[in-house]
Amino acid sequence: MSVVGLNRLARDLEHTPDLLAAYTAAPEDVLTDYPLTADEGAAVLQRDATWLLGHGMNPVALRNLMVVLGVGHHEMYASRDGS
Amino acid sequence: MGHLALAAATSHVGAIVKNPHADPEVSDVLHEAWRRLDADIAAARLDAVVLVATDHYETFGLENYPAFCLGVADAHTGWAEFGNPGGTVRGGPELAARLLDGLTERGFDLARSHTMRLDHSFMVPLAKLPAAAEAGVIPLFVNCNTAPLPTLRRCLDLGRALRETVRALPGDARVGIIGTGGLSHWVGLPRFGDVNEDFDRGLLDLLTRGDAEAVLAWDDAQILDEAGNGALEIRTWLVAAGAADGPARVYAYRPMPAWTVGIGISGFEVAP
Repeated sequence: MSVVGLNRLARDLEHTPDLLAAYTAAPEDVLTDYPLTADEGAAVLQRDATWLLGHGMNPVALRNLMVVLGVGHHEMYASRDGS
Repeated sequence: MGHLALAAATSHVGAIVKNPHADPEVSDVLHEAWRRLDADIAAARLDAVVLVATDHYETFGLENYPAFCLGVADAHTGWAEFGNPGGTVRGGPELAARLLDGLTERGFDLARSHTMRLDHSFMVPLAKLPAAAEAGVIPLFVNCNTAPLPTLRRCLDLGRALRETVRALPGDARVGIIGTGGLSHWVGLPRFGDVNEDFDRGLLDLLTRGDAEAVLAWDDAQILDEAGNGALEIRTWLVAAGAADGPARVYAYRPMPAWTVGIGISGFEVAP
């Protein structure tokens, strides 16, 4: 897994001015600046915490990433079909 | 000769200040315990507090991730990440430089930062313990979430080295040491919200008996399984316990599901 790239993405989205707005507008464009695999990029786009955790992302960095993308800490592992 | 005038430890989750009255029957007890600890800090007339905490990928990233890092700036600014407390606290650069020298002489060649910002693991305790902020803060980062972590023994020994270093300071500086973190909680994991009261009380029982050495028999896999990744932050408690070399006095402990954590607030008797 691209642990360094995912951690850097999480920190940058939180701390780099305007990056989150850019991601919201065109997420695929922002992700091209990070060395993620296609599956990792897809998991980020889908905000799939279960996949990212299962493939080795640090849970603290994952929490930061999900929260900055609008997924509450308590919602990270809720089924995306709402169940 | 310097004086280690106070040692203590507390949990630090952001909900303490972001949702302070989540469960008033429990949270009121805890807020009163922080007020009592804060009064004891004020009464100790400290010249500085070494605040031993961690970081949640706000300050340190994987491009350079220390095991321990001492903040040596004139002032340290909080991130205020995710609605946590921000602001700037006065540092203690001259004392920090002496601590860095003394710890290096004793086998702890820590990283140092002249620009270290602070996340909620520092800023929440300072919000609850304003007397510590008033004394001036020397932040000491301990890696508690990016494996491999410094061993539990290394953290206890760091506390012991801190005590020796403080006591070797010239003049009559009065220094406090406060660890922050834990107790049981799960961060970014499916068990987020769980609390393991038995684990928490087991730790506090050992520390109250002055038997921090017994904690060294635990390993990280066991702690992670029983009490979550947030419980790996008990390293900061071991630094404080090692510095004090005396038994803990628990101001309060409560499992606090409303804050998703077991909350412990303790002082330590400092051995003569």
